[in-house]
Amino acid sequence: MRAHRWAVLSVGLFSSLPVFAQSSEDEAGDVAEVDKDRVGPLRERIPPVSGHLFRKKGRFELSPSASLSIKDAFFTKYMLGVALTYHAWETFGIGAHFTYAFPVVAGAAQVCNSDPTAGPVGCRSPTMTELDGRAPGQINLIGGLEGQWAPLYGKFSLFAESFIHFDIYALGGVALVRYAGPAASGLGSSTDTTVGGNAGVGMRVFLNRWLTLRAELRDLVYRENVLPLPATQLRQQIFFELGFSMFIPSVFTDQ
Amino acid sequence: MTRISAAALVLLLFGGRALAQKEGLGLDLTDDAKKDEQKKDEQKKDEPQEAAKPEPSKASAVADKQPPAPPPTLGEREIIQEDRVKSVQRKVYLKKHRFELAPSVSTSINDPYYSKYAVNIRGGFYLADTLAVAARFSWLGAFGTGYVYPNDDVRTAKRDFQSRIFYSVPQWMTMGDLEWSPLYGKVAIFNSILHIDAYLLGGAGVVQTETSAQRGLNPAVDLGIGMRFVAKDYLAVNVALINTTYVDQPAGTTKGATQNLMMLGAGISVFLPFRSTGREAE
Repeated sequence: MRAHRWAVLSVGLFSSLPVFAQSSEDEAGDVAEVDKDRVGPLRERIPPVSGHLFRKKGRFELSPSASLSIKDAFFTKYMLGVALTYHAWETFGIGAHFTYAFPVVAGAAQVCNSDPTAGPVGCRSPTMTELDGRAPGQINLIGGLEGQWAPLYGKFSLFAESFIHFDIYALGGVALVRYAGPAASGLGSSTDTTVGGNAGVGMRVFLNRWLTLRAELRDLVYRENVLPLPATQLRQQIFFELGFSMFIPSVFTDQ
Repeated sequence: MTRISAAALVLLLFGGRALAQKEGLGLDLTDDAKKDEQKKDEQKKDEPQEAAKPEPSKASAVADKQPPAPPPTLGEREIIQEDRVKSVQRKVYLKKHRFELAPSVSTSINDPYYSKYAVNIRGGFYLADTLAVAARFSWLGAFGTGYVYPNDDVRTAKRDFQSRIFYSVPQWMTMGDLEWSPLYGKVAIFNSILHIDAYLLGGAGVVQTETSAQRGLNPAVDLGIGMRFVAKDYLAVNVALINTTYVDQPAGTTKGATQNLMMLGAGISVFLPFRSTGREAE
């Protein structure tokens, strides 16, 4: 819950930025340096960030990606996925995503034995079989629908010699999560499916008029069955995703 | 230690370039040759037209009889001259020789068992527009009663796997950093403009943990990235991801272990003096 409060705080901070920027127009006297673009004589004719290299409105975005789960206590998930998004507006799109996960034993996981009669005393990394069905977080599949809102479009000057066009977006939606949970028999695991929600932020760096490099940080929240059954646990899983996006059609008009 | 060396080398290599940057020049996409050509054209325009007009001669008389030449096409030089709007225009806010005071909050994102939250205060001074020295103090006991907060997986690990989780409990840290911001740009948001820069930081300092009373402060190194969204001459919002590495001997064990405390933070930056020095260059 603390993480959620912090997320709200961060969103609040960013949301307040345009308010700060807008209020400066009301100031009398000198125009501040950062406000000159906003109130200058060319403002009506020139968009805030000129040379808009990339338009998304009316285009599909096909995104193959690879992602990695972070902050894992028991299972680290390596994931391959694909997403298809339709950008109905320049700043808003809706899409579907599908991700297949390969869980492995996380580095932080350990199993310890303090009973000399039960084997060597000490701690070691557990095997996949030891964790299967006993430890939470063994996600196999994620699929879902989500909305994407990209209010920020900008460009960076790199060493004052080249320019990087990018946009930053927020996303949120519902997800179906398939995972290996505890079996009712108490032996091994059984596959369960549950509904969750995910939210995240991402950044696209435009390589040309149809191809982008995409990085995303995503937080998936879902409820999972845990031992002893029928107990459940609300789990939070963070993913870092890296991929490409191909925009279809590959050409677009400026307006 | 190799990471510190690499970071120091990178900062040295690019720091010179940062220091060499002239205040207020910003960006100009037209190269020098084209600027010279432009100056010559302007000089020609200033000369009296009479001087430029040649004496009538036989050659000109012949030329008069020839059909008129087609109108000149717009060459690259003319296009550049017409293009008064550069892709990323000159920097309108400058940070050189200004102070930055930045309070922020942050949370750990890499510890699977124990979450940490911190309140930070950072002060920086910009030696050049892209290079700053900064000091940061972080207090991890501001939220709740403790310094770390266990999640449900701690219970599962101890109950089902008899795990013995030895964890470091950082209480506060103070770090000195060099910040280098090679990326400068602007973004459009809600039909407003924000100027942004992105920076890398690296430095060293000390971390106080719960076992520091017996062992003393733990030396630490910082490595991180961040972005600043400038709303006004004196105000920015910044986000940063900083990894602090230190060696600690947690309670309950005699073994020391390298700890990586990766914190994602957000806060505001206030620049002093309030006015950007960019206006003086105009």
